[in-house]
Amino acid sequence: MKNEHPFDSYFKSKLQNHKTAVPEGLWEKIVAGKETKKPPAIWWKDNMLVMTLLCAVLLSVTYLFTNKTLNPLENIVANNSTLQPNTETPGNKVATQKLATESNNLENNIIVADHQAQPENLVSVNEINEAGNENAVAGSSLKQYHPSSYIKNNAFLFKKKDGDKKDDAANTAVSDDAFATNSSLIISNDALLPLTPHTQEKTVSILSINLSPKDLKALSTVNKNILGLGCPNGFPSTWYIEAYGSADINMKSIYAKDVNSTYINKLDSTTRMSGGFTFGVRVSKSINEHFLLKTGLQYSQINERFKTKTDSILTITTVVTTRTIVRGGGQSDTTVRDTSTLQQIGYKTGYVNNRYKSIEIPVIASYETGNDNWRIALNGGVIVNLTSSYTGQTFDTSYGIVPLSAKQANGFYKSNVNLSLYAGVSLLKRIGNGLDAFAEPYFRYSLSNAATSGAGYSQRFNSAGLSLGIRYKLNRKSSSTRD
Amino acid sequence: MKKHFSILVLSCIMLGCFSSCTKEMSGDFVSYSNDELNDTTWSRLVNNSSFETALAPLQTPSIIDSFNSTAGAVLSYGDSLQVSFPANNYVALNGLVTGTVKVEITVLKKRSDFIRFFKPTITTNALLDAANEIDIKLTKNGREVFLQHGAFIKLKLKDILASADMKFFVGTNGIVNGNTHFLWLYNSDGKVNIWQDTLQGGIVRKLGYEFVTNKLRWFGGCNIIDSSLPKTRLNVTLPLNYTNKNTTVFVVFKNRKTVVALSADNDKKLFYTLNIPTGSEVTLLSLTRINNDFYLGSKVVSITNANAISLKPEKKELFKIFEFLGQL
Repeated sequence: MKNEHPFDSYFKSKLQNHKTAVPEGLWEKIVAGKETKKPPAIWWKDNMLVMTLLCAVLLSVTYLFTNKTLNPLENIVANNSTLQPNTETPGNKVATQKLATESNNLENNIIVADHQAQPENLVSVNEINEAGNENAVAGSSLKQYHPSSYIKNNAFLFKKKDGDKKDDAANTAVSDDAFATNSSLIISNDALLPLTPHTQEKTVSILSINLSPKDLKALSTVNKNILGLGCPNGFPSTWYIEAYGSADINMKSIYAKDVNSTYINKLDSTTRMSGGFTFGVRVSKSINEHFLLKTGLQYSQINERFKTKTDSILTITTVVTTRTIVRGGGQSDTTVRDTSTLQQIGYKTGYVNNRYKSIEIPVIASYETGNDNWRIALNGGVIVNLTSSYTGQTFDTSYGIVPLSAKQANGFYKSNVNLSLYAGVSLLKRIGNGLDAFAEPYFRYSLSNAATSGAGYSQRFNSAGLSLGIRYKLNRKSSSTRD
Repeated sequence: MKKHFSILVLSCIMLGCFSSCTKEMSGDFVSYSNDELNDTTWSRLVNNSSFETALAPLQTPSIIDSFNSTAGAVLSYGDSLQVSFPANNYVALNGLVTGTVKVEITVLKKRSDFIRFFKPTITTNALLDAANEIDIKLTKNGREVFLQHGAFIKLKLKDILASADMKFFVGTNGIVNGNTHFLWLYNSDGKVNIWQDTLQGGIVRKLGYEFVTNKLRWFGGCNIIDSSLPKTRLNVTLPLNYTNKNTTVFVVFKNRKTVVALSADNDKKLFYTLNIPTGSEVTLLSLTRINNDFYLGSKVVSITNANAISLKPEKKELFKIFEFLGQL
């Protein structure tokens, strides 16, 4: 250090104690900007029903995922007690550096917050300021470390513990080993997210996290993509909400139990499936770049046409008959209009729309790939039927007409919780900012009886259909995946 | 986004409304092609015998008896009917008949009887005021038996209203107004007299009618109505289900024992008859049998002109019709 180059000494003397002035009120502006950002879901505050359903599903899913180990990083972050909130304290120093990128002309703010930081330990570094400090690692070093372009124009600050003054800061390349040996690491949450060309503004918050070597090893070996280590889909995951509706083609299979084939044949000949439909809302969460989990709530209705024949139906029709009356006796004929009735007897064929209604929960895993405009997804999972209700008519074993109801006392069918397998292929097209339209041909196969009749048979419904819907990205601002 | 969400919400509402719709789809009505009720056509060839068969349930039982044809017999039934059969004067298609012969006697006294047995009191182009009509049928081993030429039977029938104006008529089938009807024809071979006896003191008491005839089957006493009042045509219409194939319409006169069966006008699809005295108080009566159901229509009217009178039959139990006819 004593044999420094005069040029270096000159810059050191000039810039060693240089501090970049922080504009007054900057942090308040940043905080205010964050608070005014409305989450996308606030747009639906006027629709309480949808919000309620959505919240219920979101809560369920959140509960589901927050109680599972989905990524080692979550454990690391969750178990690290030294993770500090990014709040302004008197001890904090905030440095702001605007970086104009060459490619995107983006503006990136660098915020450094460290409760333990001393003024002399905190240095803002950018590509221009490569002089460095004993306690600082230059952004250019990070640039060297990260081959990915995702953080090409970002700067990161790594603050070392007090007393660790032996590390060469300015031009030392950061390696995995370096991460592993650092006992204190400043990590920006947002730095975990890749910067896509759509990102217009990026706020980088740097927190102080104390990582043990074990955690860091897990961090580097299990998910090397954190901190932009080559993975564009880091955390937090992307949340979507999907609304869809489909026209269905249904197929019914009847399984006889205690009835003869004549009855089954009669039942089969008098009923005809007449389609159905499904609509619902589901939320999906990406667990990495390609895989998503989806669940929600949907209403499904299967329509069936039941043909009835009622004999000895007497109809009475009022008719006006015009007759020419011969009066005779030298009188001329006269025409009279006589209003009378016409009775006819016959049979009446009736058609009743039987409806099998279900409220269901789909639980679907999806593999999705593609580009920004077009994406294709393979979906598979199960559909759990929560409740069912039926309306319409059918006939019992004595061929008498009985109501098709699971609720009435003389109901013919009994409600039955069942499970279906689901498989589909989605084709998604970007139609707006964070908004996709999708078409999803699918097939669902019933694993259990959809309805059990009191007449000694059961039936299952298999369906094929085409879902059309839209998908909206909920966390557009913070997500690293497709906007 | 708000626009998209609005479309989504609207679509959900529409789907909800659609799913909640429980409209039952009505089907088609198909009439039975072979059911009599649906046959509204009229026929030019109406078989009255089929209609008589239809009215058979309304007919009162005949008197069934037997006698020795060789010895002859006088059969009495209370004090209202007495029939004297001569001896050895019976033949069948295969020759003389001897031994026991079965006899069936039917007597028509009231207006309702003429309706139940479908024996209107008409003759060719004229209405008849009837006395009593009798049917005597003799059979031997199922074969019909007739009186030999020159042999007569004598029948005394109690009727306190017996009229001396009655002439002897025999019943047969004939053509009236273009329709085949049972009608009565004057017959000079038979006689109808007043049956009477003489009480003590030389008082003559009218008991009824005494018929003397050499013809069996339907005979009786009738008188042609010779009204000086103007006459008119009577037209009666019914709903389309009631045709001449399943319905007959009678005119029952209030003040005389006259019952007229109307003829069918197939072209105009109505029932009619001629020569109804203007101002006559009558009861129009329609009897219909469709399948195994009976329908009765009636209306009391005063005939003044040829304007159509409509009847609206109603479905009735047979005993109800029987009760109604008994009141005529």
